[in-house]
Amino acid sequence: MFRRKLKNIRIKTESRAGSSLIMVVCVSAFLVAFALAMVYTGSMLMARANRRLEQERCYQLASSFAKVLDGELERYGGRDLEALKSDTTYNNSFYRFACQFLEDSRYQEYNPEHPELTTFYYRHTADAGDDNYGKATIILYKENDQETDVMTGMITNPASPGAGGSGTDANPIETVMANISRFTLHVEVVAELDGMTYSYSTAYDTQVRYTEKAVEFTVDGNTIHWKDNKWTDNNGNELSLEQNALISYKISPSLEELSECTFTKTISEGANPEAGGGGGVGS
Amino acid sequence: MKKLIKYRKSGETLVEVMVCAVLFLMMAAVMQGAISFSTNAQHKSEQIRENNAKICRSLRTTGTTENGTKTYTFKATSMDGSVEGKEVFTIKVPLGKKEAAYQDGQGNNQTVDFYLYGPVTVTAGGGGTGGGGS
Repeated sequence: MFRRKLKNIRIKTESRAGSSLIMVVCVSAFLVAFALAMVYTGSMLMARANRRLEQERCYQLASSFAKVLDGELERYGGRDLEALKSDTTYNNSFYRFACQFLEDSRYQEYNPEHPELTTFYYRHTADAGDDNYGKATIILYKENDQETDVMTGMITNPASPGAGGSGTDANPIETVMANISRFTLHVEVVAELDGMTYSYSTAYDTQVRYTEKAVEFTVDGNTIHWKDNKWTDNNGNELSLEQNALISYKISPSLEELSECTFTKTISEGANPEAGGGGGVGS
Repeated sequence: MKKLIKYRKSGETLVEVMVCAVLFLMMAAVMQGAISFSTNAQHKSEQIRENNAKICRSLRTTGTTENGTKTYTFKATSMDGSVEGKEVFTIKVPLGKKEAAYQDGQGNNQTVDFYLYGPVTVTAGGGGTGGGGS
């Protein structure tokens, strides 16, 4: 009887001793985890404080490069581009490429459903000694903000009747060509330095003017031309059109027929991009 | 018999207490280390933040000095830069440098160099809007 009681008591106490140890181990594990969390938080604080300067470096590079591009886009604004065609500096310039980007249909308008196909990336071939300046990537995309198609439409004949369509100073080409504003060009600069990136984006309103060759006038399906203040047919014969006759026009956008292109900065902002998405190659 | 039971119980508790004491001491040491590390880290990060703020303030007021020019040729690439296309345009980029001066926590004068593009010198393009005549 006595032995059996003693045995029961021993079993009870032994089982209690094991559970206490488990509790101690659990509490210890909790404390170790807590200590590790403190160490981790401390090191994160330090790392974040150290990254601030790197971020500032990237910001300086991105914003200053955006200003350089802004200067490039202003450089030839308002100038007759036909006169610049033989200029090598112009032909290799960012300005000319931006004009080509707007005019060339291969560079499709930005589509939020397919950003990888409608956003174009350009990266410079940096020398080995450019470590302090990191890498700059230019991202371009264009958006058509116009609700109506500005490249086609109708005008009324401004010429006086009965005088072979002539006798007025109003040039229909000028009427059509006055400030064609189709696209908003978005230029984003991503500066990359020591694993840190910063993007600075600028939006430009664009206004272009084409040469006469880019415009095609038609009346009742027949192509007509405006030459020396007169309407002529394809053979150069003068045409007599009634005043206020409706004339259709169609502008065929082309870099070759661009006579003027102006970029006006509208918005600029910086951000820390968390990259995502695929990539399309523009050429 | 009661005495025997009490004796056995108190003996095991003593072992537990000893193990607990050792573990407690170990934990205390670990916690002490963690607390002192995080306190130091906090002080250091505060100091770094303070210095960074001084540097950034100085940067806003410091002028840019020229650091030569570079001609960058840009190539079309894929988004991640792994696929390169042909060269599309060239930009002659003026390189600049800013030297931000500040006083650190010990009162010593320090300088940090920042590199940027510019100063921008836009060549005055011919003005006149060359529209077609009437």
